[in-house]
Amino acid sequence: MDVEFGSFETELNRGFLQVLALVALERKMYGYGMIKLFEQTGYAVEENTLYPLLRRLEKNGWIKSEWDVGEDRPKKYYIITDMGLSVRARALAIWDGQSEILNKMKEANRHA
Amino acid sequence: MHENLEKYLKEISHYLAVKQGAGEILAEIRSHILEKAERESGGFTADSLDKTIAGYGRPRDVAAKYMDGDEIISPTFRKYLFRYTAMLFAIHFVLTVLAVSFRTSIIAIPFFFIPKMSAFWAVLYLFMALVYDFGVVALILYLVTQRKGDVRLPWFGVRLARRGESGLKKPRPAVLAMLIVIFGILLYVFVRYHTLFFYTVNGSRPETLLNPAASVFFSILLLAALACDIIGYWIRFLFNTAWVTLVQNTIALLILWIIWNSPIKPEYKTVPGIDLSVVGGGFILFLIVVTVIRLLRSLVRVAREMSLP
Repeated sequence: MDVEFGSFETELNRGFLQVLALVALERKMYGYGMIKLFEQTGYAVEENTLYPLLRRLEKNGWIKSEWDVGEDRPKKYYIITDMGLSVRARALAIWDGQSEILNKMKEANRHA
Repeated sequence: MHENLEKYLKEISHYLAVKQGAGEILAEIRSHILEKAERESGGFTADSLDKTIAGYGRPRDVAAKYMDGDEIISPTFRKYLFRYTAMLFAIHFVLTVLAVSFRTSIIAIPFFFIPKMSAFWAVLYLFMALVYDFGVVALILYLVTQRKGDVRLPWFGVRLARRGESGLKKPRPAVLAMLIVIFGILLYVFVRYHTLFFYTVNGSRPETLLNPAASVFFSILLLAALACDIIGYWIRFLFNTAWVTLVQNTIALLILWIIWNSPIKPEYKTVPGIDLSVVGGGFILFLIVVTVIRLLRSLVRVAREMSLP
C-alpha cells in the first residue's frame, strides 16, 4: 500500500515540482538555495530529483543557467527564460482549471 | 582531497550515459554535497561528507534520474524482441539440423554461419546461437529506438492463442485410431517378415529390399518414429499444446538423422529398372524435409504461446 502510494505521490509531484521550479526561478537561484526555500514553504524535495529536473527544464529552453565561480565554491545559478514564462503561465492556467474541476467534483459529491 | 566524494562521483559517471554535459552534472553534484556538508553537518569532516553522500542516493539511482525516458530499447519493442529472436532461432535451429544431417557447413550472410559439426557439438552450439540471435535482435531494436523516428517494424501476424492453448487443431479420435491401425499392420508385417522393406513380382513371395541386419534396423526405427507420432497425438488429447508437437517432431527428426547417418550400409538388391539407392535416399530426404517443416511450425507455435501475455 505504502509503496503504491509512494509511486502515486511521485507521479503527482513530478508535474507540481516543474511548475514550482518555474515559479521559484523568477529570480536567480541555485539548487541548494531552491531546496531550502521549498523546505521553508513546507515542501520537501530530494536533491537528486531537483537537479535532473532543472536539467530537463533547461534542455527545453524554459530556464537558463550560468556558473558563478566568484565565490569560494562554484555554483550553478538558474533563471527562467521568456519561453519559460509563457510555459509557466499556461501551466498555472491548467493547474487552476484542474483545481476548479476537483472542487466542483467534491461539491457535487457532498450534495449527492 | 575529498577521496570518498571523488570516488562517489566517479561511480556516478560510470552509469551516467548522457550525450553531453556529464562533467557539468558531476560538478553540480560536487558543489551541492560540499555546501550541504558544510552547512548541515558541521564542515568538511570525513563523517559529514559520508553522511551527505549517503543521503544523496546510490550512484546508479542518481544517474538513472538524469536518463529518465532515455531507454536503450523502447519498452514497446518487448514483444518484438522475443518474437524476432524466436523466429531467428527457429531458422538457426533448422539450418543446424540440416548442417549436422548432411555433415556440412552452411553460410547465409550476414546472420548465419553453421560450421560442420557432430550432433553433440550442435546441442552446445544451439545454446550459443540462441544468445547470438537475442543479441542481433537486441542490436537492431537498439538502433531503431535510438533513431527516435516513427519506425514501423514488420509484425509477423499469426493467429492469436491464449496461454496454454496452442492454436493447434483439436485432435480427433478417428485420426488416432487410423494411426494405431497402420502401426498394428506394420508391426504384424515386421514380426512375420522381419522387414518393412520388400517387394513382390506379380504377387510372388515378398523379397526383402535390404540385407537382414539393415532390414531389422531400419524397420524398428520406422516403427519407433510412427509410435512417437501416435504417443504425441494421444498426449494432445490431454494437453493440446505446441510443446508436444515440438518434442514429437524433434524425436522424429532425430530418428531420421540416425537413419541418414547410419553406419550400416544397406546392400540394396537389384530391382530391374529402378536405382534403389537413389529411391531410398530420396525417400529419407523427403521425410527429413517434411519433418523439418513440421518442426519449424511447432517452433513458431511455441514461440507464439510464450510471447502471449
